[in-house]
Amino acid sequence: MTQAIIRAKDLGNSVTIVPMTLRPKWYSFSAMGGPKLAKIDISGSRDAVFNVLNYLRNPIALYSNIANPVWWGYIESISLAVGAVEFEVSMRSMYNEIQIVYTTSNNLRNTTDAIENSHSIGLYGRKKLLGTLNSVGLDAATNQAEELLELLAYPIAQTRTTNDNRIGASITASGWWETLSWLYYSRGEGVAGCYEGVADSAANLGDTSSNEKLAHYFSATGWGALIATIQIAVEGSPSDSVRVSIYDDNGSQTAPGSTQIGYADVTAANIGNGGAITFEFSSLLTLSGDHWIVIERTGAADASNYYGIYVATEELLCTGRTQVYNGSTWSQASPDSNIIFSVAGGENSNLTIEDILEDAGQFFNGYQVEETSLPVFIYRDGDTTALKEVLKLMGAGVDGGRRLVSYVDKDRNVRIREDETLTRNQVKVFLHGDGTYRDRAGNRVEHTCPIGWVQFKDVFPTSLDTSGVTVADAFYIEESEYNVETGRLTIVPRMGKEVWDIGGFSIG
Amino acid sequence: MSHTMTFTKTGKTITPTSGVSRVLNYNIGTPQLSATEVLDAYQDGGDVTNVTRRNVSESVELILRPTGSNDMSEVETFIQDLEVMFLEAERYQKDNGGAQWFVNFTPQDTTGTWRSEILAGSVHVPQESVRDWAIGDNAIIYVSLVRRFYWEGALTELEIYNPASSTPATGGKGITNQLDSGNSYYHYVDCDSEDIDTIIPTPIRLELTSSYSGGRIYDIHVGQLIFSPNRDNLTYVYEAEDASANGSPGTLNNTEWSGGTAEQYLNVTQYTYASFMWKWELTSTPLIAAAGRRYKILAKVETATSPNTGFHAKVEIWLPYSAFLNKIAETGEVYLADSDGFVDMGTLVLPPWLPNEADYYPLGLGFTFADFEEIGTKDFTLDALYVMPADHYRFLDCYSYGIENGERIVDDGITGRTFVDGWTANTDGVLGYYTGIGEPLMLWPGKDQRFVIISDSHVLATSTVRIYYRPRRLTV
Repeated sequence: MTQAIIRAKDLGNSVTIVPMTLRPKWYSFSAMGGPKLAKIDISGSRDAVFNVLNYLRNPIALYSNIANPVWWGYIESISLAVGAVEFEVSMRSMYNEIQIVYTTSNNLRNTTDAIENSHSIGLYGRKKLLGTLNSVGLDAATNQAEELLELLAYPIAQTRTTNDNRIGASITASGWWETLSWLYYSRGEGVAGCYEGVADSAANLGDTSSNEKLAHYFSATGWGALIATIQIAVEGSPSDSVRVSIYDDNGSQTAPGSTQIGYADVTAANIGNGGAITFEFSSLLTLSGDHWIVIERTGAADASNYYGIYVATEELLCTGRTQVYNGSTWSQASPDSNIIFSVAGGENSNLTIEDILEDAGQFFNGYQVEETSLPVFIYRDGDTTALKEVLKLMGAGVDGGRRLVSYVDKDRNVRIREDETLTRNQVKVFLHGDGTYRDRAGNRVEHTCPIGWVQFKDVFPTSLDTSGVTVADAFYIEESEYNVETGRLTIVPRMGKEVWDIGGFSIG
Repeated sequence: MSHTMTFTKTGKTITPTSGVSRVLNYNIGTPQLSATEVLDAYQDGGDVTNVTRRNVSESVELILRPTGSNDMSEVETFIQDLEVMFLEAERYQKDNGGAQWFVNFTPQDTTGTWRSEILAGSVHVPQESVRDWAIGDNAIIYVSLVRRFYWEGALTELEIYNPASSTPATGGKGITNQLDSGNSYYHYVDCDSEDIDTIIPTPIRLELTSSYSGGRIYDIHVGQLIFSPNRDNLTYVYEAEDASANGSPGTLNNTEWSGGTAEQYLNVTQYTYASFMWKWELTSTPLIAAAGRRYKILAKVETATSPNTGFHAKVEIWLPYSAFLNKIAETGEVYLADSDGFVDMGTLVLPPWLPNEADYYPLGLGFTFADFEEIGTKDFTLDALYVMPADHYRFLDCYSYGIENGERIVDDGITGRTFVDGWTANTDGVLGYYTGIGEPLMLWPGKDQRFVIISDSHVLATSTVRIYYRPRRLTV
């Protein structure tokens, strides 16, 4: 027997008394997030069954026959069939914060203010829709946002009539991990420089000793520089490299200071005919306050073979002006200009993941993310959901190691760690020829959805030649689904394109 | 003397063996078996891993005649009573409306009456019966019914005992919220096979009445041990003060938690992921007694002197105890929040391998740090690991006031209800703020059994336990 307990929507410990019978049908786990989906049938009087509509987004947990929690999450949708009429009410179609991205007639991207329904947010949690509307003005986009909020702020009952005539109801529950898709993740920090201007000319670099270096001021605090991007072209056929450095400030924001924080080189061959060229620093450069980007060539000045750095001279949008170095002193370049450049910041991906969980993990009680030592860019434009962002970072994994996997425990704490590698003497679950899953000691694995490496116990004949197979005697379960009624496990192996039914049970 | 048969609900009885009716034949059914088989196409035979029994459909053949001179109203009333009975029974199954009806049967020359709950049914009156009544003859009708797969007897209180009161008796036995034989504190009650009068497993009604005036009892765990060859040889508590520490032993601190015995503290900053903090030796004798069954491991943590928040831990079994070289089994990784009470660490099979052997090489039981990184200086305070048998297991989840001295919680597996009563000196009604999680506790025939009961309350909290059951059988 598997038992379902619905708890109060406010996430407190109190149990919601439901005047109906809940019969779990199946539940599933994933390497990404742990509990994924569950299906629970409902039976009871018509009044009671309809009453279940009030329990959307309530926490729900399933327990085994000896009171072990085996699945947990929230009620994501409810389906009702009453005679020939079917309803489905789902959290999927509910959005209580709306923002519209619109483009104006000159194709400039803009966004409306986000509008929200605070009552719905208090009831269900915050769920945002970022819509798009092309070639309209602010008023039209705002009207669109208001109309959508009116329509979508509460779950909508989808109704249809059928040729069937039956009474039934079921709950589909979703794991808490999925709620990261309810919000978008944006982070304004992590990029600095002068990147909004339009380049209209090129400043020579290294054709004479009077322009050995070019430099531009920028300010950034609290993050590390990972790359710098400038727009550059070669003149003639230089054979050296261009070096982009980050320097401190001279104290008055008029010229670079004396401390070079770090640099990166790109060869002329890789610059080619010009364009935006990225210089990747070998390590994160710690930024704090006033800084300068300094551009120079690594070889000697050459009047025939040199570089052009793109600058804006007509519309100067950035703080500071281009400075030029003649071998002894810095002076302001003439005419006044802004070098078009950006410095993008990074941090180890576990820090970004933690920030995402902090920002969008509205139902989580806590989180713990394993150190990755893998720098990634900080800046996020806010067009991508938190779930997609975090999955992207988890896929990148640990520096020199494997991807990250995640698990939301029954108390809604998130743990993200490096995925396990196949170590045969540490495999915990074995698949036997009779279709049963057993632990190392031979005890059957029941009521649980195994995730991770599984080793075949007595399936392959020992004479099998496995030299041409990647892993012949083990496989990795990415997702598994446990059928409560039959005890069958349906699994999705990692990188598998088809669902495998493995279980081997027959009901007599 | 003949068989007797009645249909009853609270306040009403239909007797098909007197008045207008006599039972000609009762085709008592037998529950059909439903077996789950595990098969391997390349192996002979297979394993039957689960057997269940379905409800029973059966029929009763009745002969009806008016008791008066051709007064058919009595017959009509009798038939209508049967039909109303089935409607009420069906509605009760649907949503607790209607009424709960039973078919009761007392075999000839016996004294016990056995009952089985009616789930649905119908009355069939053949055409010839109408004709027979018309000419003043007796007539036959057929009653078809669906009932539970079992028969059950009268509610019976089980005789229980423990070392603090070692004579099996009804009327209640006292338990304390810890196991400390030196102070005569026992957290369990036993029953013996000869005192159990049931043929098939039957759910129990467990009553726990608080006799402790120092505070409330909140969440309650009840673990049932059925299949151990020697329940007294199992180790139910691994005290922190009996553990061997990994590295710094932590400080010993006297508290009142275990009747004045010492407790251990542990500074967790010294640990890395998957290193055990404390370990205990699992010797052969308790492993034999454990019999390869499942056991829940509950960590009793306390915040009496310092907070212990914010890290993960798990419980593992290692080989050998001395060196912890190979991990054999483990629970999940559990977040130890700022709590004061029992934390469910998960389930282990003990011994983890080769059940029912006569001797075992000792293993190690480890309480293991499971955070990815050190988390700063925090004192974690562990009282003990409780090994809870889980042949059957109930967790009574309290989301309100708990129970005070004199108040009673009833976990009634017979009716499927869990409630509290006894507020204001036993005069108030029932309250439903406990949720029973897990299948009902089941009394098994032919087995000495133990019910281990602990709760989130003071270790000196006492209560009185009473257990009731209805004997069950498949055939009368």
